[in-house]
Amino acid sequence: MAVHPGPQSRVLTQSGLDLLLSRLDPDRNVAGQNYENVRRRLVTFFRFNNCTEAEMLADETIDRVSRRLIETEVLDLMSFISGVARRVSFEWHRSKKTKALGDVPELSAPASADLEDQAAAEKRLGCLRACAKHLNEQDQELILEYYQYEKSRKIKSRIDMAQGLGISVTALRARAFRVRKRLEDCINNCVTGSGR
Amino acid sequence: MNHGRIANKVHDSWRESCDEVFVRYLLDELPEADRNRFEDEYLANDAVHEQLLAVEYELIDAYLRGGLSRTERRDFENRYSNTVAGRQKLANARVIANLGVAPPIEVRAGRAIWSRSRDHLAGLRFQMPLWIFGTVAATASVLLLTWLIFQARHAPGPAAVARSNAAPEAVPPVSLGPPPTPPGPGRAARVQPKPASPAQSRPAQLTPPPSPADDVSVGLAFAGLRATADRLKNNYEAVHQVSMAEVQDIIRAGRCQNLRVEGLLNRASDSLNAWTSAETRYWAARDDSESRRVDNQMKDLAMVESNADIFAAQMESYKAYREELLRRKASLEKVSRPTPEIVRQLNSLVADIDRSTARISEAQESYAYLKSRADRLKTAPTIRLGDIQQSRQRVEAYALQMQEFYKHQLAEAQAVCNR
Repeated sequence: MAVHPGPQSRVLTQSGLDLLLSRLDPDRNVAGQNYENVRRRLVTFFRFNNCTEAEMLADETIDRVSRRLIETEVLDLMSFISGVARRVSFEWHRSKKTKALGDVPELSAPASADLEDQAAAEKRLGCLRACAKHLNEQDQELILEYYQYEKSRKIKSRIDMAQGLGISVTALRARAFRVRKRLEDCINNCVTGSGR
Repeated sequence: MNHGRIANKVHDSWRESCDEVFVRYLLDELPEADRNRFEDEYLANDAVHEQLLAVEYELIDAYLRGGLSRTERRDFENRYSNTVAGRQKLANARVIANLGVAPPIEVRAGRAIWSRSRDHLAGLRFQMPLWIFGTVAATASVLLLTWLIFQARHAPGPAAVARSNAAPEAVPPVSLGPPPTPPGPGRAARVQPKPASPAQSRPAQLTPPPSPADDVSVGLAFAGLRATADRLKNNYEAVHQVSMAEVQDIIRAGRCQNLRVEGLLNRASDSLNAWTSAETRYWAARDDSESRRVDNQMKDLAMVESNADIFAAQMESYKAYREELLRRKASLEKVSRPTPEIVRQLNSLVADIDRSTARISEAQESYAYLKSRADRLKTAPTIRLGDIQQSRQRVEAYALQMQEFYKHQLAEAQAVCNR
């Protein structure tokens, strides 16, 4: 891991985890769910901060927060988590910094560099078809309609859709996102062979 | 957080439907303080986080449709092509973009699983050409580019290149010999070709030889139709030979056996129809398939040319960047007493210049490959289709000629009775 484990970096203790969970919610089950949510948001945070080891850094952040909770009184937990995440991100980038010319932008790789080969793309398409079967009719309708049209027609179409459903466009986008996310998770599982 | 704080108006159509702050965060355009505030907000709030990820999908889709500016695209690619998760997200977005154009996945009791009829889906396709074009183009481009890059990386030897540069090999048309001609001299000889012996009056070899263009997939797809046509052709040849031998014996002997001759000729004619119908079905199927292939080839051509343009633009961009590096290097080299820091920077610049040179070379290689590929695609894409259509027409013409021949044979037999 790029964030070097120092004296601070110890294995997450049960007491630290218990303390964190209790701060997330008095109900253990709800706390567990909140824990997962916080972790997911941290992964997003690291991803958008260009940290390639986002999952690992999210865990490191949670470990550090848990340890600190034992040692220090933390009033605003989420602000504290943000601060620790920022620190972890900073350390990670520092450890990765090897460029001599910091002001020279790195050449981007050709757009094709990240492309899958045809066989993989076909497998993914097959997975999409298999996964789409597991969406209910309403979700199928939603995702088909949501991704219709282009430019201004798309905007108008979505406004119409939202009005039809009696929700805001933002809520509609969130709804479409949830369907697409489910589809994407299913595709990822299918592609890696871990089933749907 | 007050999202309205960021006042800059954005005009890109895909952005219009999204909250500005999300877009600018995703494109790394937010000032540091706003960025931190926004991160605090989504780290603390699941709904904001979810909205961010939803807008991220919009961004990815915009990228795939080519809706990002050059700078945005470069930043986007830097972010998404550097991680497994990012690449996975892009790959998924590409296949999900197929949702609206894929045929209904499964039909249950006559109804598509998408709860839309095929007609409705067809309607969607009609209503959203740009969307379809964008997504299909993006997906096809992925597959095509992958393949092209793979090809470029596994450059064939000169012989293979020469082979692949050759025009597509054409399907030889059905080799039809002259149709059998009525036997015996007579009045009809003026309008019919020279008489033939029963052996000569066998139909010519109609089964096309295995074509070099018939690759494995084509062979498998049409194997059933080909086998049926061949079986019926063999059957027809046998029926024709036996029937014509007897008919000509009757005519030669001057026996009046109209009913017998008519029966023999009808049997041969029916057998001929069965075979030529099967043959026509085979060539019609090949025709359809080849027409689709030609259509796709034309689309491929457009895609390849478009990708070649992209590489050309990329090459220019790399060149400009390399020039900039060279300028910086020249500037540092002017320092009369270079400090260790300057020496270090110079070394680093040299490495960057080498890297950019390699990338220019790669882009040039890809561009050259795509241009040659485009040239090959332009080379007579319809030749094979023309040959197939010609084969089909020749089968139909042959059937007509044979039917005329049988009529003539019947007339000859009737003339014997009238003597």
